[in-house]
Amino acid sequence: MRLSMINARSLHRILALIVGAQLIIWTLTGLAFNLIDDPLLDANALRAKPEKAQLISPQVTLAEITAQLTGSGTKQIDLKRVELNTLLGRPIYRIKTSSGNHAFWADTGEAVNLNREQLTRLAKQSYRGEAIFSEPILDEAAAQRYGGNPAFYRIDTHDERHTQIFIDGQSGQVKAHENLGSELKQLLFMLHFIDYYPDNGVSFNHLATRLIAFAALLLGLSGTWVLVRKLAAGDYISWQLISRASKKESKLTLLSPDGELLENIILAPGNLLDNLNHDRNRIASQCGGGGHCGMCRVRFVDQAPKATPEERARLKEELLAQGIRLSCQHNGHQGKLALTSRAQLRYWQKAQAEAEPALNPAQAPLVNESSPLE
Amino acid sequence: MLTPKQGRWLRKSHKWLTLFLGAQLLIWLISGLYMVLMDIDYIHGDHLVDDSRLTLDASQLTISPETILSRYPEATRLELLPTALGPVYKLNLTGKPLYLSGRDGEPLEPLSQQAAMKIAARLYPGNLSGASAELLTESTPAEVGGRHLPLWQINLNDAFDSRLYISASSGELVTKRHDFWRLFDVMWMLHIMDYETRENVHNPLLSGFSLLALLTALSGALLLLIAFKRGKEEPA
Repeated sequence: MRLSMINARSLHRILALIVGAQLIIWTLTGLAFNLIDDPLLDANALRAKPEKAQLISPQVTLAEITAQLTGSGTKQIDLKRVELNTLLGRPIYRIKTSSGNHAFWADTGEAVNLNREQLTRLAKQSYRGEAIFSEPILDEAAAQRYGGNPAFYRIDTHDERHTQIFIDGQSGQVKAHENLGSELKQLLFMLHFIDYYPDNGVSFNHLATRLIAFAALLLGLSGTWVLVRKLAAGDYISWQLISRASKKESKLTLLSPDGELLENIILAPGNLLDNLNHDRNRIASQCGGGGHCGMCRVRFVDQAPKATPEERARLKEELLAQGIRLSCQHNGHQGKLALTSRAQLRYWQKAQAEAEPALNPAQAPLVNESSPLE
Repeated sequence: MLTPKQGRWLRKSHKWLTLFLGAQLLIWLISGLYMVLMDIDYIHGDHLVDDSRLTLDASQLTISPETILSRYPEATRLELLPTALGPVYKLNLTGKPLYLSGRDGEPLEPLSQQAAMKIAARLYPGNLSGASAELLTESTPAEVGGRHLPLWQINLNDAFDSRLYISASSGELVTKRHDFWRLFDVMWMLHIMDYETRENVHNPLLSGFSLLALLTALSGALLLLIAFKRGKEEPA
């Protein structure tokens, strides 16, 4: 096939093969986001906000803490943000510097590094349901996912929705709750964004996502081109055909390859292939009318319509010159059409026999017992 | 695999579904492509702000957190933030936050235009010579959302109509917007088919169209089973 013969429909078919599965995934996951209620995809339904307690006056000053951060005083530390808050009934400093995040108890000046009992207490504070809490488990993957410190813990609640609580032991922050619902949401995002390595949160700016999205747009544009061409050719609605059909004046005459009369068929709106096959399968087609298999060819005995790109790609020049066209590519035609081969004639005969078995002795019903022939 | 009748029926379904859905299918593909092509950090306007130089200058902090806390013992949270005008304390009191100067502990005066421009100059990595400032007191622009009034709108007057929004009560950067963000917002609206609030993905219009889109995709996929079939070359 020459490159120029790759018409819009071929492009549409090839692109569909490449991105079809992702299109189904997009529509399915999009529909899921649309239909599933937010709370079902959210692990925070049972998450309790930290209590707002009046601040406890710190016994260690901020100046002492920053002195501790700079160590011997040789290295320069840029403070970006300081927070004084309350954690487990004690005052706590959280300090963001150009080199990272730090947390110190404001009553003792020690760096925060929660023990198992404190981690469990914090997990229980952040959860409003009834559950059995597991021991804190170090979770490196989660630390990476949430950008936490190395002392990053997971506590399983063993509740109905398998809630897991993630705590950064060195900042004393409950970083996240996850459960089956939030995992499903994550999975839906992963599928919708084509991000199968969502280590650092799901993102949609990947090369793979961009290429597939681009191919999908080409699929849409080639499809649009086919659609516009069909509209223009009257394949959706043809007023001419409708008005003819309403007057019941429109018939096509089907001839054998040798030009013998086979039958007259009353035309209905729709393409020629549909007209030929609407009550019985007179003409074989394998691609269902896509202009690709080339099996639904017929010969226009009088004036043949202009060949479509599909026909030019499928039929040799000499066939086109003989008036041979694909019946799926043209509207109902008032006039004479001829089958093009013996095989087509046999197919037509078979269809006739199946539709009207009484006319065919070979398929006549078995004679029953009350028959006078007995 | 598929009978000729099933094949024709599928092709017809695909043909009519795409006629009704075509425009929205294209909108989904175009808006989706735009959103994946545009780097999300750029859309967020990260190129408009460089706060890496914005640090707390301890020498300017003449009043300690302990002193502030002794004046406002009811505070539930205290933060110390760097701004281009020096360190600022933000206190969570019952109701709304209170901003105090880190220099004298007094509540911050509403930001003057000059001060707002000074903050913008500190944040924006480029040249601000063509910029103008406007104080918004009546309503928060739709592109900002939430309640942040009073608000300084710093118009950079560049090719993409970039704007910085700075809180007139705290001096904090509230957000930054530019034309690619605005277009992204329109694309998102078109993608989720919520033309009112631009945030409700659970609207029934989207349900209906998504369901039909799924049928379109499935009919298309099934058509692939027969789409590549070729008949035998027969003599005419």
